[in-house]
Amino acid sequence: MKNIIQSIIYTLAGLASFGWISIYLIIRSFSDPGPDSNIVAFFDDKIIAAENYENLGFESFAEISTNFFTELFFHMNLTLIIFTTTMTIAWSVVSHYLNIDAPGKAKIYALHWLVFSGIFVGSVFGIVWYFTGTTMYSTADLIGTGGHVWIYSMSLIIYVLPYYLGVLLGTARFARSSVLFANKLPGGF
Amino acid sequence: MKNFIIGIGGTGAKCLEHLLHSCASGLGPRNLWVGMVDQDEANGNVSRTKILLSKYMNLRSTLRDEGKNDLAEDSDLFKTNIITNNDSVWLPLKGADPTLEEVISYNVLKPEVKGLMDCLYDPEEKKQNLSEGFRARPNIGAAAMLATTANEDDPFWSQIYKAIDAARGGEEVRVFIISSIFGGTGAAGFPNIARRIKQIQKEKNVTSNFHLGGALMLPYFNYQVPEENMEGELFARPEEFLDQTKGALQYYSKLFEYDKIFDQVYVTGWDPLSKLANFKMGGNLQNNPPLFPELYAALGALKFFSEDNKINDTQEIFHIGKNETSDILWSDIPNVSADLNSKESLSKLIRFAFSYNWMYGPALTGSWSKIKKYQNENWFKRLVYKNTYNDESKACEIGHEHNQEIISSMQEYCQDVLIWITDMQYSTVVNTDQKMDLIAAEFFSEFSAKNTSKRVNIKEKLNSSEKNQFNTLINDSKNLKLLNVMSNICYKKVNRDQKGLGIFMDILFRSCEL
Repeated sequence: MKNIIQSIIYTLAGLASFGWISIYLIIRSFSDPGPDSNIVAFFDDKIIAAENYENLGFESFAEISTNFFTELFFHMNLTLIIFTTTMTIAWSVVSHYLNIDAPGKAKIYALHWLVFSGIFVGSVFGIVWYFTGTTMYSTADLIGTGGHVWIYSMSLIIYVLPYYLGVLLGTARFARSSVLFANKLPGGF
Repeated sequence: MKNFIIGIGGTGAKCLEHLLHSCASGLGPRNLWVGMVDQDEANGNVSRTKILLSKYMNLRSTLRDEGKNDLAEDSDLFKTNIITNNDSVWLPLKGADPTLEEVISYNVLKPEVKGLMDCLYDPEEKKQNLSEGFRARPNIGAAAMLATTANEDDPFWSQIYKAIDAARGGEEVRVFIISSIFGGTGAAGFPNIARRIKQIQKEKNVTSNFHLGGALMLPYFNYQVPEENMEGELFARPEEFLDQTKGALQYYSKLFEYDKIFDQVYVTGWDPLSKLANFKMGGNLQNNPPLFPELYAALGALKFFSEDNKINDTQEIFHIGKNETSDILWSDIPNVSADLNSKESLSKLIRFAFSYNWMYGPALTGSWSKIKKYQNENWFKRLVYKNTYNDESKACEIGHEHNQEIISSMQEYCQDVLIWITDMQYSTVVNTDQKMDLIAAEFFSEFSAKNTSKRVNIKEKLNSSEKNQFNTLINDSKNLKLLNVMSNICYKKVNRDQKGLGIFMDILFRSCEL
């Protein structure tokens, strides 16, 4: 149990390396960044298609940004951070129970890690698609084609990278050969 | 504190075998001198213990070398620093094929003394070749031992003199003697050697700091003597064991009544007797299996040496035997002291032997080109690579001869442990209605009671389902899986004083603890 708790602490440290961006975005979006904020300007410039809000009778994205951020963006990031944290900790905990009972056996579980990571990445895409590509949130219609590419790319950076760092640091010592480059970590770490 | 143990006869040697394994598991004292007494030097039981003793000492000295490979002071693995003489066995009668006639110079005795000897010994006994022991004739053994009572120049007895001198110098000294009460060498040697030691103590005027303990084995086994070709032969007859024991107990009762020879005596018996499948009169073919009651004697000795054991002025006699049911369980094994739990230590050693022999030993055996596939694994990197890396040659030297020797010696020792416990478990109960349930041995070993030279054959390799049975190896409600061992070796902290392969060995040993 002591080793598992240690793994969870390392996992959280790995997650925090990039995960703070997500926390920042969640807090900003929950508290409504305001029409004049940089984040709204950035979204207006890179993600939102002007013709989409003009068709709805608005002159600028700033007029409807509150709905976009406090609902769609807040819910999406919250879901993603909870999912990422859960998946990362889950792997770190489960890695202690993988049946690695002999020298050289950890490599076999590289396949398990790849499948698990594949499911995670796929799920991140699925969650982003659920929030931005479906009719669940009306403000999702504001996102342009290029905006979708931006959101998917940013989600990969903000969630997949911390996941990787989390499992890199948090995987059980004896299971590190199953995680890409984890066996390069110093032995005593 | 200085500790000395003397195993007399075949039974004494066999008890020492149990004691050596117990010391390897951490149940022993910090230091111990070991000696054996047997006229039958080629005896299979004595040879087996002699070989084990030498393996123990070599492996321990290699793994307690502060410069290279060090398990460190705190490690329980091979905790006891065991030493012995160049020849660990003392032969009461030197020379080729000695007979009692020669020992007592019968031919030059005065006629009246000759007559006395004729009353005490029949012609067969006087002419019996004693190179294979005293053949269950303690009257011969006693005469032979008293005739050759040792002096200070004898390497064996010089240790006893040194022990008594150390006690006179203020150091606490404990000497323990183990033997059977029946049979020849043991029955003759136990009282005579003990009394000789006491006599030296008196001569040297040592009144304190010196304690003498002993373990007496009452009959605990028998065997079927073949009817052919035994005419006129002298040998130990199992049907005489009980009468011999009765006589001996009466003798000890008188002896202890009038003279305090021992501070503590541990008496062990067993009923029903274990049945040995093979009978050999003596020599290298007499290779009897380790039996459970001998473990009692060994643990009695360790209890005697334990620092918790406060020895008082009165002579104490402890006795132990089998429980009333026909099942022999871990709970029947007594602890050495409040801090030394026999079950925990022995089961840790057995798990260590298993995991080393089939999992980690093979992984570390061979050249670097074979071993390097593990170089990125945490256990290897942390415990082996880093500690066998040579800064000058910029290479990991695990594949080098000096390290490979340690790895193979440990594997050999681990096999000895597995064979010892398996043989004891099967042989103690074979052909009786008793059942011994200490370990699950059937999945890794085969037992053949009649094959004296190799009763237990352990498998060279195990398949994965057999390896998975590690979690049932020790018959107990709690157990470890190999996964737990792997996890433990990756997380157990390395002691700052440990070096080289001592680190891996100690961590693996500690990882096998529940």
